[in-house]
Amino acid sequence: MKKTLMKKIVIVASTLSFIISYLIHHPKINGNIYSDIISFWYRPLVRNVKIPYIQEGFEYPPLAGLITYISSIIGRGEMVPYYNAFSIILYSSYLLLVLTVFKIMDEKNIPSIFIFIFLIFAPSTIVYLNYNFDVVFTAFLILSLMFFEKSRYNFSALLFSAAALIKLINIILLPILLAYLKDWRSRLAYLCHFLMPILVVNIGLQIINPSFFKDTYFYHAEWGLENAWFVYLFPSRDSWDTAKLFSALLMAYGLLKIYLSNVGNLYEKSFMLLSVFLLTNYVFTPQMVIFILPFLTLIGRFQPAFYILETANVGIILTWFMEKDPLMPGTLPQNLALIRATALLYILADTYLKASGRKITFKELVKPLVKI
Amino acid sequence: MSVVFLRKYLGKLDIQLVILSIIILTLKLLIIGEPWPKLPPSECINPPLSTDCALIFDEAHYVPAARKMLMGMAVNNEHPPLSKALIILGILLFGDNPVGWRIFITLSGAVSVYLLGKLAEIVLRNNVLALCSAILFAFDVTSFNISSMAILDAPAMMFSLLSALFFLKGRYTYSGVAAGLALLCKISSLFIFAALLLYYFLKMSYLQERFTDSIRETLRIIEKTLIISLVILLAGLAVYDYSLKAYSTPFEHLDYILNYHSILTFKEGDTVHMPITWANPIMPFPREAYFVVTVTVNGKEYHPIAYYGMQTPLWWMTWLVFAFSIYSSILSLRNKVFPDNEVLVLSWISLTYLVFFPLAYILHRWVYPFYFYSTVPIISIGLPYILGEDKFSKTILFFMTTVQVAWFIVWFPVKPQWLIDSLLAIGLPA
Repeated sequence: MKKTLMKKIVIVASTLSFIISYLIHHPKINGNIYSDIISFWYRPLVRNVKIPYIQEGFEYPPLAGLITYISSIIGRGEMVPYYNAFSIILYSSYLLLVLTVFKIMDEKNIPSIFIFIFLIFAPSTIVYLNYNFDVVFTAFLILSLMFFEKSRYNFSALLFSAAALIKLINIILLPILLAYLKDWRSRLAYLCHFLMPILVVNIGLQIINPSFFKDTYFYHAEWGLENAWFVYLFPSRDSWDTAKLFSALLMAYGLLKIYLSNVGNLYEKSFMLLSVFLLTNYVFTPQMVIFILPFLTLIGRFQPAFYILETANVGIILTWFMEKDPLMPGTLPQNLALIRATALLYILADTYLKASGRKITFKELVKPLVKI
Repeated sequence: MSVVFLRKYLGKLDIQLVILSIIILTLKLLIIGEPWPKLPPSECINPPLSTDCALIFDEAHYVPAARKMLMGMAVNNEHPPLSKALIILGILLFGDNPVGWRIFITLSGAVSVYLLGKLAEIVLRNNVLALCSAILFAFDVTSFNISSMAILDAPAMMFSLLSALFFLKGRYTYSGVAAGLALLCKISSLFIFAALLLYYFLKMSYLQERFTDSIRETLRIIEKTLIISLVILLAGLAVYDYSLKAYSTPFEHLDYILNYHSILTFKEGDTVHMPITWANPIMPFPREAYFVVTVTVNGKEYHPIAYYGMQTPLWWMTWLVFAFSIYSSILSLRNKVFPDNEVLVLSWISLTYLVFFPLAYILHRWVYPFYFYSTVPIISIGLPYILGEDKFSKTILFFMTTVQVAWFIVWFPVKPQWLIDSLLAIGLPA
């Protein structure tokens, strides 16, 4: 099939999956599924068209605040116009993401089918696409990595910075990017291009509003466990501070393991790092799975465990409001989060072993235990 | 014939260490029943506890806790259960009396002497110096006292030394298992283990060409040791928690332990013996009376039983050992040789002693001089190391060892009448 025709099919398919996502979260359609976009609307920030961080606090980084502010200006206090404006921004980001992934696949001769399986028609894409800022973050991140591979480092660093201004999480990929660069001069240049926009925006906002950092970043430190598998180890809310310490130690270990391994290409390493982050972080909201979908596409390998991951991940939001306290262990969402974590761990181990030229076998998995 | 036999066997460090440990064990067993309770165990379970319960120092926490655990109650959850399980085992075998409470702790203390000697043998590579180390440790009167009473520290020390021994021999998995058992006795055993990991990391940082390789190598050792030790800790806590229905998971129990210990802070006006006073001969902390019986006869006062927490001559050498290790490290590094022993000494002192400075002075965490027990082993090894080079230094070392033994005799916790009379006769405290 010709590349241009395939590209058209990809755009049409993406539009279709976006429309489904748009409709299932549409506030005026009966039986709609919860989305963060609509939950924002109920805040004075959006409803009364206030400026994020300056007139009203917002717990997402500044670029996410800008998207919300633009949508609220267009919405002028009306829910549907606000929803539509937000949706258009997310749709544009989604198209940017899909087309970037498609371009990389084309360059690497990865079969096109994977973009449909892992990205466009992935259940998580449909359910969590028109939901939060995750697709914008992922689009900037993938674009940044693509330019990085093409040795256009300054542009890559600026896009990486943009991703961090939506969600800070991509910072965990920074060490591997710096390690790929050949000398300290280019590393310093990359760091400068990455840090400059972040510092200018954040310091500027901090000067205008002295509680900016507290409201935006430190706010997350006070969150409890959300869909983290280790809620089963720390079932009592009183113990969640220790659970966060456990999370930090586990994350530091996992990330170090990947940083120090000489396994995988840029996309495989990025996938492994993001997966480690998701598996060890004390908050693993279901929309975060969108971060890893483009990477699974680019790894280009059929993963049966992917469907378990996806079914469980979509199930989290569908069962969330059935429970009185969905954060507690034993509830349906937390059981699904546990299944999701197991599937993701399997995919992570499989990716790691295959990237290092080994096959995932039961023997390989129990080898470290047998050694002990 | 017998001279040949003695030379052949007594010349071996292992035999010497066994004999030394047996001497220490015998001394401990001779005084194990002192003090002996006048009240039955049933009246020594809940506070306030009378002195007639004959509980020395923190035995007042752990012996009642062991009794309650025997009744199926989950108590004293702020500490892991293994040392208390050893106290319980002693009670089951020898009855609810001082012999029962203290027997396994006493054994742990004696075994620690042997293990310290073996550790010194690896570090110092000299049998005479290693024996000196073991003697310095064995006759450290505060360490002797701590390892003679039914508290958590002696088994924790024994497993920590075992872990260090395996670690230095490169048997990392076994080291992890021993560290796990030490953690199950007392969580603060983590400090010794962290010191070993720090030592290894610094060594790798010097030996490996790239810094990332040193992190990779350290991570490999962490996997073999720390992770195994944590698994053992959690498994032990799980057994305790599920059998006594204490916590729903061992992680919840660990959370309680961490929270409990992080809120133990002092206020202005509280009397705290700060870390600077622990090893400082000029401004020492006052002797802490763990259990003292005073007798006055003909106007002369003496103490037939006197368990003290106090400085010993060995403790005074801490800063000397520390400073020398820094100086010697610099010299070795200049000669492009990794200062192996010095780094071990510095890491151990830093993480078992210096770590309490920020904890006490900045975070205002309660600290006690008996925490120095974890540092004593490395001073016992460090002193022979810095004084083991030439004949003159060795003479000083042997003199120091003699002073340490003499100090031990003077402050021996349970004195026979002849010793009391002798000490009083020469004008020494008794």
